[in-house]
Amino acid sequence: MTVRITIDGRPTEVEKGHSLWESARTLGIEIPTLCHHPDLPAVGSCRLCVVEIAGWPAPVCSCVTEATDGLAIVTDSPDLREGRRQILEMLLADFTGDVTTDEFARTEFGRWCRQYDVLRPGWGRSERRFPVDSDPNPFIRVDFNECILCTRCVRACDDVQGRFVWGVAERSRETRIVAGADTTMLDARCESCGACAEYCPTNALTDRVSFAAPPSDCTTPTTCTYCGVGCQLGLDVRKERVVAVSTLPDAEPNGHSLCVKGRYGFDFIHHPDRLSQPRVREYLLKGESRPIGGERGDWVEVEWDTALRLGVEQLCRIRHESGGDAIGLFSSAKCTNEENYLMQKLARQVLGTNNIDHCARLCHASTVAGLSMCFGSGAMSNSMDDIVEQAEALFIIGSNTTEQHPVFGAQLRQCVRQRGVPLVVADPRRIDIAEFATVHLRQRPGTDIALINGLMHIILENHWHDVSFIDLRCEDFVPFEENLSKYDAASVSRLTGVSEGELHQAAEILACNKPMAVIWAMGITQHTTGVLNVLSLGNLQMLLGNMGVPGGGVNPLRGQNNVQGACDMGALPNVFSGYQPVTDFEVRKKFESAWALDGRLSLPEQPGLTITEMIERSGTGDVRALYIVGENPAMTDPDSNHVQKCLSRCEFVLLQEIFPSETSQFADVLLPGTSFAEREGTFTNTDRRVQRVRQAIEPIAAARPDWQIIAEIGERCLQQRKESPTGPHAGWDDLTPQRLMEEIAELTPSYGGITYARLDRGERLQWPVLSESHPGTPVLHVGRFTRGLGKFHAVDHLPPHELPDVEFPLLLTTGRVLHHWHGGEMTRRSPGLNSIVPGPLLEVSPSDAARMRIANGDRVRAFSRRGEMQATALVTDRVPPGVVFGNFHFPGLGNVNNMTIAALDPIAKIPEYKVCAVRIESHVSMDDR
Amino acid sequence: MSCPEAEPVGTVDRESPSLSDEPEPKSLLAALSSRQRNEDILSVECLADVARTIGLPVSQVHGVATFYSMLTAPPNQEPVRICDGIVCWMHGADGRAEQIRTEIGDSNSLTIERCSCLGLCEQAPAALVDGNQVGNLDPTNLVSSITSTVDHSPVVGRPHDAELRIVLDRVGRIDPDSIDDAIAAGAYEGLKRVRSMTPAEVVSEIESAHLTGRGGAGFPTASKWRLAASLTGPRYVICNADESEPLMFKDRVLMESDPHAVIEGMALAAYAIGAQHGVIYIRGEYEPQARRMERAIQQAQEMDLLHDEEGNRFSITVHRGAGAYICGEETALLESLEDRRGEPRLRPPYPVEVGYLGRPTVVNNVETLATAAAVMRMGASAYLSLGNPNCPGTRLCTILGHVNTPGLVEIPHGLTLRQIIEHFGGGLRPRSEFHFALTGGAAGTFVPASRLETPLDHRAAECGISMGSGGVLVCDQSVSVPEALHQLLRFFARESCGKCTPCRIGTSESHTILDRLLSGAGTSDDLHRLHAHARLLEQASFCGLGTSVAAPMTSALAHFPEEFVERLP
Repeated sequence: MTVRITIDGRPTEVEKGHSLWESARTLGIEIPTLCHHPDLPAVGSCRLCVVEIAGWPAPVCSCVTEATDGLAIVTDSPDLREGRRQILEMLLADFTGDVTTDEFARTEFGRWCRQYDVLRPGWGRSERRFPVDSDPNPFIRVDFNECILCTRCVRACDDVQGRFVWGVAERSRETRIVAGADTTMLDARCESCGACAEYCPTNALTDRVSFAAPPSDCTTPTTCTYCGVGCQLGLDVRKERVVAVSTLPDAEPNGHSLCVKGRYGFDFIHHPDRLSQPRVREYLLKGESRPIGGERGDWVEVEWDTALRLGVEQLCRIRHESGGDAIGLFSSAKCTNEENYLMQKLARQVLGTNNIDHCARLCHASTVAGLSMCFGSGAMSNSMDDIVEQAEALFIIGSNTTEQHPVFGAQLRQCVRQRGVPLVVADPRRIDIAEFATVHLRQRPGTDIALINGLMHIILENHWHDVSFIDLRCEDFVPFEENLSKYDAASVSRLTGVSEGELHQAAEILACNKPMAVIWAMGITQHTTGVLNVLSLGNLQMLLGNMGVPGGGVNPLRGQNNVQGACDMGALPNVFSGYQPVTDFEVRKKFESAWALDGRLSLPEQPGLTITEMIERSGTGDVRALYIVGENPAMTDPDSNHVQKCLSRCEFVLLQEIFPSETSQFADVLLPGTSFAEREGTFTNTDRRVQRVRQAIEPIAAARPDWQIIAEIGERCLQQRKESPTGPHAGWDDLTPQRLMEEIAELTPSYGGITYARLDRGERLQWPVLSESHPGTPVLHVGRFTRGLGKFHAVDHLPPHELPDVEFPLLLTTGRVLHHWHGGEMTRRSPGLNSIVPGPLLEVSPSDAARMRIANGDRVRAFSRRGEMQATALVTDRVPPGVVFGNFHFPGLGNVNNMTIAALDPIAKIPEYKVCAVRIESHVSMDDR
Repeated sequence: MSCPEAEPVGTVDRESPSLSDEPEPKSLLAALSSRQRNEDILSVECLADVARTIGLPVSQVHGVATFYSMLTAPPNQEPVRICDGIVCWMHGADGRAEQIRTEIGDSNSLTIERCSCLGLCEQAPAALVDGNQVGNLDPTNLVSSITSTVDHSPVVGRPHDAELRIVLDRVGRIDPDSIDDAIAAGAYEGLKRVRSMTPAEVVSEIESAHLTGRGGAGFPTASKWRLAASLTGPRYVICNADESEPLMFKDRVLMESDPHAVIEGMALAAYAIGAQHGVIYIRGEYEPQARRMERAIQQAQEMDLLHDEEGNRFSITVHRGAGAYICGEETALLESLEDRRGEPRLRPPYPVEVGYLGRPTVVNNVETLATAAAVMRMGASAYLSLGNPNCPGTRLCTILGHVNTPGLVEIPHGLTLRQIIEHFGGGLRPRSEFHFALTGGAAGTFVPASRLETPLDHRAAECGISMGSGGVLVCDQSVSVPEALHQLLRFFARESCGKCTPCRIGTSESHTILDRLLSGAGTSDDLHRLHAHARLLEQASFCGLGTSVAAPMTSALAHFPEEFVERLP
């Protein structure tokens, strides 16, 4: 529906419902405004955007007046200009910041003042009302002397971020903006997302990094390096340094939104700890054998040629002596698609092993396995925006969405708030998004299957299931249904600790609002029953007919920036790129001919080892060499003490990193890779969207992009073995990321239509993209599942591997906090992020704390059968009694993985990070007394 | 059965309910008021606790707590709030405030605060002491006058000869706390009649009586009702009893003297539109009246008067404001009811379509509802036969200032200002000469002697005379126009909600200009700016509060320019 109006004499047709302001903008007419922003609800309070309408008695605010048929509006006239000048003058009269600076001139307010030729009047306030830089927030600078009360910050926090930090206080000319109840921003629960500063039209709220900084030379659009949401952002560069992060307002999926890490956590790029030069152990350089015992001797900085030569010699020697399967490769979900593709190609074509894996093993291996069993495809079935815009109910289970995928979390908050979508959260902890939940089910950790079966039992009991969907599109329903009979509400309530009333309420919400989207993350996957948990969620969505529709689906949120891509590229022991099985003869034949060396190639037929298995076998000597790119297993894998023991026994470790990490002490050759700012490529985000990564700066010091290093190793291996590439894609010289993508597209059906040209045009490409003309697939399984029929599985509850007992009476579960990222290698190097969360925390429930005489902020020691950690106690009812929660971002004695258990899911080999047994004691060292 | 004298203000139920037994109210304003009574100060912890209990963001709770003047009391002491309105100013409130401060303030550890008009204009100067309304603050015996709340002047005495009492019919004739009295005097007869009619017939009858809103805007009441009735789902009737306009106290008198007229009006409006629930939003300064309304509602409910034969229930709750003129603006009122700062909403949509809790809502003024009850009791044609044939019916009018018999009267439409002064105000006081009148309240107009003969009907506005919600302040030669305007601007500057630029800065800056002018330091540029601010306020303000500030400014500057120029050094 459109309406016809005339703007400044130009007839035009605009969407019904558009404001006059928006309508003018479509004609390229910019009506001045300060309170209005297209992302935020219109309030019409600054009164700057007044326009005249023919036949109307007085001017109206264009931002809040809807365009209706026949209106003739005038956006500029002497009267309007005079009115706007007066408004600007009034605002300047109350503005006690400096209006003579360049910083002022660059603001929206400064720009309009200049455009309307308005100077600060001789009347109005002369005294500053507020202290300058009045809030200790490490990222956002606050100076309310420059506030013009447009309230964009309030709306940004309420209507974009959903955090309600800012409020308007007092009234009349005393009106002012305050955080919370006039506290600091952080005390008012600020997440430091920076949205308020983003929208502020003055310098009342600014990013500290860019305030008073000289303008940047250029901005490179790229993809964020933190989580799997895949936010688009700009790296602002000045003199070869990334000086700030800016937003790309029109880019999906985030527009103006970023989280604290994405917007402010880029210090690591230029951190002095960055590895600047390749290093090798002295013994290698001297041609000696490795020192006896765990120690590997001193590091020596060397030229690239030396480091690569020594590394390749060792790999080739071990391969020659023990075969390719004596080598293991850890690829990286932080690296690009092109780099991951190269890693698996190196493993398979050059080293002749399928021993390649990456950290997806530790996060979503069970999702990939489980969903493949149900539907034939292991990825998020829907898109973030279709969930936010079209879901009628949400089920978040085992995902701390607002802390782990902050921008999507914020969008989900608004989905609940603005569309009124009911939300069921199932999580033992009272995570932040539970505040927005209609029902919060706090099941006991490790009882997810019972919980989901219980919900499905109620759904069946009430005949809320989608009979025709089940009949037409699924199989094996009957055994599944029979198996559910024992999960009556009473039994499930006993097992899970969730009341029957809540079970019924949740089941009704999930079943009676269609479509309903299920969202999960590590809370589901990191269990010995990880695959079974995923199967249960697949069952639920088939039962309710929520598959293949926008707003529904199964939605595992991928953790790392490119963990989806690393899986897609075949950095897995059982598949080539695009999940083409290594066991499939035809598939092997295709790759063998593409990668042929000296006219032939015989790729390994059997799936290789997983990360967890490679670690284990490096301890036993079955795996003699590890080539690790951008991972830190010594810290992030469960039962760290055991992992470190294994690594110390491994004969040769080649590590490619940007910082010396906990793993580097076990390495023999250390190669400096680059951060995301220093390379070209693509990342694939959680909803299967392939997005460009662009180089903003030259690599730091002698560091090289990872794809170059991998290519160099491949090339040198072939040279050393005197093998010549003969297949069309067999060579390792003369590669570029773009050419690699062409190779990927050619050999990978689901990436078949992906090209840099399309991506650079801004096309939204979600795989499968089958050809250059294929538009991509925002929703999977429409009309038909990848495997044909959806398969129901009868799944039964199984207890976690290790449960609390007398000796270790508490259940430990682990996860992240908003301000840190995984092993913390990047975020611990951001002073701002580190100042907010400076060390490891253990959340302890008030009743447990009281029993153990632990006060909030006490130092505590925690022990499991495997190890110990020290942390600060956070006494909070976020955790239920009997459960403690630890974050895993800190090394050494602060590492929660000293305690976690390497019990594995039998199918996906994912460790059970989410449940083990510990005991805690208050720890006050003698010095403190 | 009938009570010969109206009960004076201030004697209404002085007992406070036991606070310790009071459950935490669900409404934010009520919760904050209750916390303030119990804890004296709304600390950060207290606000956080309220936020948690009610389930609102702390920033919102803090924003609300700092918005209302009655919630920003200093710790440990419920202040004596001395009215700072224009009528009290004319009656020496400034001097009394200073006297109280110096003579008894310190020794009794009293905090003296000035506050916007308390709606006790007929008893000026007035104050609120511990929530009790105190009139005629007495310079000769200050202590007793602020500790005793007995009123000395009858609010509404015997009718004037020319007065036509329809809405005020029972005022002063009944015991307001006795529903039997009220019923014997005709209360709820209109409602009974209504129940024999269809809702559509009720709306038609209201329409044929030409009933218009008495809150100032004058919108046809039947149009609102008809639109609300045509919509589906739950809807609400809200009685706007946030009477905060300086000069106005008619709603207070109606509620304290004939509460059942208001309830009856709400019940029949609810019947006409199909509402099950009503709210009386009453200003926080009217606590005795709020309690009286609550008692009256309880009586009406006990007598089952609020149910119809089909068993449709209508319930009414009383919601107290906490000191904010802007909440008399209907959308700000709704925001306040919904636990937010009383800032006006965007319109459209209008409350009648999207109002309280997003549902269709009829917001009517107290007088409008009481008049509706009278209309339905006597029938539209009988109502129309009364008063001026060109402009039938009556309206309430306060007449104040330098007249012999100030007070509240019910007058026919279409009288001239001179007739009102002569016939209802008892003429100017001895030795007083007419200088100007302020009509329609603070947001009204300055009227010079040359306009005394203009009939105050619906065409009066064209002649630059606003009647607003019906108030006349008559001033003699002792009051200058700039001084009077200065008083009004102080009120507007203090009561601006702060949302839009013209009102937030324009009212305050205009007040500053008059400050300067009156101190002898004004400049001609100041006068120029005063004109400019007035124009911007009128053209660009967000809501009616801002736009109406221009009315007294422009009328004062237009009719009495010399008084401003005289002040220039």
